[in-house]
Amino acid sequence: MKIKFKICSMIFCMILILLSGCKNQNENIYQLYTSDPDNMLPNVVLSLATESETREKEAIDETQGELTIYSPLYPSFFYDWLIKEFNKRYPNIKITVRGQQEVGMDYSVGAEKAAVELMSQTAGDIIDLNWMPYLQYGKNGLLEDLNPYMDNDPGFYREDYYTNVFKGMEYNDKLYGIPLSFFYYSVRFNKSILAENKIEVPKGNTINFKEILAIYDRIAPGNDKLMLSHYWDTSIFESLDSDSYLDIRSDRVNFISEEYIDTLIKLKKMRWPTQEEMLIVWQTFSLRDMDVNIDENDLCSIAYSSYPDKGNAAVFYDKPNSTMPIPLSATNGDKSFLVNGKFFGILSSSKNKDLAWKFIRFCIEEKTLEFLEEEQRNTYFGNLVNRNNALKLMRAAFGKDKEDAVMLIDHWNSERDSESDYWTWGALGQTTSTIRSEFYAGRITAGDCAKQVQERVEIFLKE
Amino acid sequence: MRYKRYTYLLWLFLLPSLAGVMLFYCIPFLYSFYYALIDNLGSRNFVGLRNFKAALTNDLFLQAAGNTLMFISIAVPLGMVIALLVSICLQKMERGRVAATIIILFPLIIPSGTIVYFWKVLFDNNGLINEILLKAGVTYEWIADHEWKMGILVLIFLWKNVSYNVVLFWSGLNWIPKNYYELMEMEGGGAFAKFFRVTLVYLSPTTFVVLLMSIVNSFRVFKEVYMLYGSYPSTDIYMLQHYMNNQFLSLSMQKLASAAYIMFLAIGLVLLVLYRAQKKLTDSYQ
Repeated sequence: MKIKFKICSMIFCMILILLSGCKNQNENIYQLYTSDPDNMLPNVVLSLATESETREKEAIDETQGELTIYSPLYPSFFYDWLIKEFNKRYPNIKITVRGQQEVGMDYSVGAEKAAVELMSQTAGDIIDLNWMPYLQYGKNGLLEDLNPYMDNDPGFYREDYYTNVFKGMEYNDKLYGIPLSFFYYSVRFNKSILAENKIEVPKGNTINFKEILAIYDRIAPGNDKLMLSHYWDTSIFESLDSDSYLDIRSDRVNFISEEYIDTLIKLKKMRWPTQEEMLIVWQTFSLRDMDVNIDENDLCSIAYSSYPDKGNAAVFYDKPNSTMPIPLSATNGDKSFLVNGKFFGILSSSKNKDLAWKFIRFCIEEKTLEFLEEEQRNTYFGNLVNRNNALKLMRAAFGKDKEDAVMLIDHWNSERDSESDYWTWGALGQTTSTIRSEFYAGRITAGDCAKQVQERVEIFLKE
Repeated sequence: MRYKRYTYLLWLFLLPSLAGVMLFYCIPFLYSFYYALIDNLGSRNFVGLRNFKAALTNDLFLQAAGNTLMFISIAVPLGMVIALLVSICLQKMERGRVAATIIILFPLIIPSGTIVYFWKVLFDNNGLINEILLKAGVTYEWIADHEWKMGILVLIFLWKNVSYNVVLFWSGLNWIPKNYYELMEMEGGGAFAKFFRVTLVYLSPTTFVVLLMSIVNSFRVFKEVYMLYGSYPSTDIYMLQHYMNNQFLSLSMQKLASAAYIMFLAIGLVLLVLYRAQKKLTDSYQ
């Protein structure tokens, strides 16, 4: 049965290739991609946006009250705009933003300041959880579980959202924070390098770091200038794959595995940009560059998936020198996503929890898009958690005739299954990063490095 | 009647500092006992002594307690012995005493935060000491196998606290009447007899104060340790303060409060035993 299916699929592919001969090269590759049995698209329902338009528009709500948003780390102009819009619908709710960190303040100082505020239970009603160890806050009862708020709100429609993101962020079946958007990494390969080395363009809806390194290993012996990407140093491994070895949600840690040690050894042997080169790159850095530019010696470009952005939508397609993006997953198979940007939770000490929920709902609901200007969309970096809005933005970015592209990205978005919490490690992340740099500097062995990282992480988990 | 008025006056003078201690130390500490008895800051359900039981059965907490105990057992006696010897030397010095005293008191004047960078330059993995060892032909592996971080912590503690203890001991030494030594000399006692039967005996109240202060100060070395090795050091130097500081940052108030009370009880018990021993020793010579 499987063989029959494969033969049929191959014939189908060939027919498609033949039929698409008259179309341009980009569409050709795209068709090939989407028709591959490995890339079977799900039955994505794209009619949600029209369904939701039939719902009644909410009138001005006269609810009275006061809300305080506590934003511990980074100052943002974004709140002014958001509050202004919120007050158009809820004119009698007064919102104050407090606690923003001074520009340039060290993360650890900001985190300590936040801990004092939160422990005194005077921080406010809503907290911006971006970069905060929010799972620990939730575990220690400081944050409300947002699932009951969603379930009990007749105006909230779960089906409008990427519920897989909510599910992937749960801890012990509780959802302590809702992001306005999420993203994940995607890889685009350098076509010339792959062609020179007679390596097939990787296909599939997912690729992991180990597979990328395997391709690198095949090319590196014959190309001494090869780099993974001139935008990254060895820290890319920490960002991309640390979650394969540590899962805070299930207290699972496995840094002393052979696989981890092998990867460390491989990374050390690889060619990376020098510190001076990195400095030049990052001084002139923009996310767009990272998406678009593949240096002639770069094996690939590893960039964030922010396809609702028009510029990034352009790189979705096959280019003369680069392949279509493939979403990255962790080596352990998790299709992880990251949350970076505005990310709200309700403090359990809040006296205005229902009002706080109204505000959070307002930030993520579909109507928000109506007044979301181009510039402000950057604040919702990545893919909006509201699926209807994400689809609308993608359709606007890709154009009317690219519905299949929108469908594919929507599929990628829908199958993200676990939040990568590496960015919430805080002080632990700094410690493990220092240990790894000791290894890369040749001061400790890979085995010692793995042992030391394991030891520190075990301390973190046992605490 | 006059005595009573005098007592009231004493209390009146003590009142401002007592109020400060009550307000900023005693009341918060007593209040934190409530946190040790609840499940978390959110639901605040009463859980009895469950947090204490959890702490006492937590491997990491026990390891931290063991490390802290080891650090105190090494650093405190060593610091006291060095301080006593230095203060005796200072007392015996006839020339250059002022200069020596100023040099010894230097660590009390310099803010410890600024000196941490000096320790970092010395003891960091890429620090001066390791560089010298590498130049001398020692391998990275040897350094990794022989790094004794506890030794570095003891050294930092000594640097920070010996001068303070010297001041206390010196003051205690000056209170011992000279005729006691003369009497011992007349009885044929030598230098050792003078030291053990006069100096040590009459210095015992001061020694007790120094011991008390050293134990208290041994908990204050955390700032330097934290700045050198961060929140997650290796398990051999992971102290109770690391445990509590990290609980604070993750807002686990129940764990923090229960650990603090266990530590308070342990130190209290040690001090009580020491106080009884010191009293017994002093009484036996009177």
